[in-house]
Amino acid sequence: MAEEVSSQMNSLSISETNPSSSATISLVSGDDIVFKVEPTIAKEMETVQSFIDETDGKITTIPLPNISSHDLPYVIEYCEKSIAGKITKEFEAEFVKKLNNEEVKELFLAANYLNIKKLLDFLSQVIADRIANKSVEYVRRYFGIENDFTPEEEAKLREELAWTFTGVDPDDEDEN
Amino acid sequence: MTTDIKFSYIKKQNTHFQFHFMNPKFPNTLTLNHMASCSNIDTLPEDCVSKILSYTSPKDACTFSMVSSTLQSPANSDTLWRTFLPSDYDHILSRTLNPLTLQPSSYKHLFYSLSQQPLLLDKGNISFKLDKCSGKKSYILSARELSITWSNDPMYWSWRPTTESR
Repeated sequence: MAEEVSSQMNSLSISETNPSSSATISLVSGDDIVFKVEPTIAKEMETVQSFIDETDGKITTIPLPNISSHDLPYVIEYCEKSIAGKITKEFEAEFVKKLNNEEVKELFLAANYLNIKKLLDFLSQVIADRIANKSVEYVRRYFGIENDFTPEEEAKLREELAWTFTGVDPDDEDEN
Repeated sequence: MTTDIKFSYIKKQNTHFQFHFMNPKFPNTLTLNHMASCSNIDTLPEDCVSKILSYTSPKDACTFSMVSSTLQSPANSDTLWRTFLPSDYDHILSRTLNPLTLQPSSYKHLFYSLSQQPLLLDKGNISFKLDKCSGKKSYILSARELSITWSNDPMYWSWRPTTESR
């Protein structure tokens, strides 16, 4: 535990000792970890770039309170590959293999928040693949959504959409 | 050059944050509203959910509309159902015998009409329908319209009415 704290302090103090390096952009995760990235990476993140542009590049420390230090490295990795023009089917397959359902959702929300179009498109496809041909109950569990229909409303919908219940995949165990 | 920036977060409701950047070098406080900062999928903007669903199928979108009332709107949206229609759907519709029978109120409605009732195209010699589950196009062609070698020669082909034919 103590080690964890000291490593966090380390990463924070690095940014403090070198605050004037305008070459890099500091992204601060919701749990206060600083990630230093090249300005080209920031350009991939439209939300971050607009922060920078609106202040004529004088702001180089960007707080991202909605993104955890667990998710941010994935986002940065994807952006790096994207800049290098190395987003291949193989890379995407490997990338997504590392992610469980919860992480995919979190990254999707992060990509939406940061407005990274390519990552958003890619993750939309990933989520779509994971909910394709699944049951209503599975989709609810997948997204952690409460059923807010009344029994009457739900029965009516199920009757109207009875045709969608044939040939649905059996609910497999959630990965989480 | 070091820029001294202080920022504070003001928590608005549960999901939306507002940032205030207070910088001595800038007289005006820079305020950015982050509407996109959402905590869960059902609080995402509708177009985001529609985008995910556009990578699925009409059947999956229908399943999704039963998940919760908040997701009904993106699952039934015009943006989404337009993507399930064939890209050349307006050209197909322009070839119908009786275009007046189709007066859809939404793209979803149009999709449903096209998947329930076959549409007669090109003077009635082609029947067109969408597959309800996948949205794929299906055509039924008139046998009389086909060019078949020796079709006029009763030695090889004969015309026999079948119950399924129109």
